[in-house]
Amino acid sequence: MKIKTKFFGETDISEEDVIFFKEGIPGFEEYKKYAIINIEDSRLVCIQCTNAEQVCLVAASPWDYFKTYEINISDAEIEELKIKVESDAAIYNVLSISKDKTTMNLLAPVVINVKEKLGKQIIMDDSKYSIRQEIACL
Amino acid sequence: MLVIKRKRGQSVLIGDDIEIFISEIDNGYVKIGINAPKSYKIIRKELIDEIGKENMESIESAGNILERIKKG
Repeated sequence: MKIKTKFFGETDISEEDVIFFKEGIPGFEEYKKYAIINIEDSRLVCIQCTNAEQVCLVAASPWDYFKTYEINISDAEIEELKIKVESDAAIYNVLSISKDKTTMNLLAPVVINVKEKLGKQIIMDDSKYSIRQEIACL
Repeated sequence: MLVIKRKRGQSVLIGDDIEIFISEIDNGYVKIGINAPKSYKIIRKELIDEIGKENMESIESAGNILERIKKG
């Protein structure tokens, strides 16, 4: 299927690559379907909404930047995402730039079950992590 | 919305398995205790709003991030 993307024009993706976010993501609750697009020559990905070209978040694996990062995901969330083994899950944390600083949202990782194609931005309310953790370079 | 007046030490029950307990009232703050099954996720609402803002910021700065990568 062809989708319109914010940065890569019209892109062909397999229908199997569409990930369903039952509740959308905070701030964009009405958008439920996304594709993960690798950004060439980098470790980053775009989390691109498949039916809204402008909705595209840049993210990366947290462990590329924070080796000891830990995720606390509840049993209910594991069940909701139908995660059976650890390798079912892919984790991306959202990046942004504000006041010239690049930051990663470590408090709310995006968890994707790559087998079942289900996704959710998990909020770890009681965690020690920051929504805007500065990273030195991309 | 249902609004109920409660004193310190009192509770309200929601359904069979959720209890909200007023533990302390002090200077504009209410400390509440919540007893609920683990399957309920309890989150401070403003945190979700803040994460929404951060997601919007990511979308706004996505072009900038891609440019930074190109520059290396």
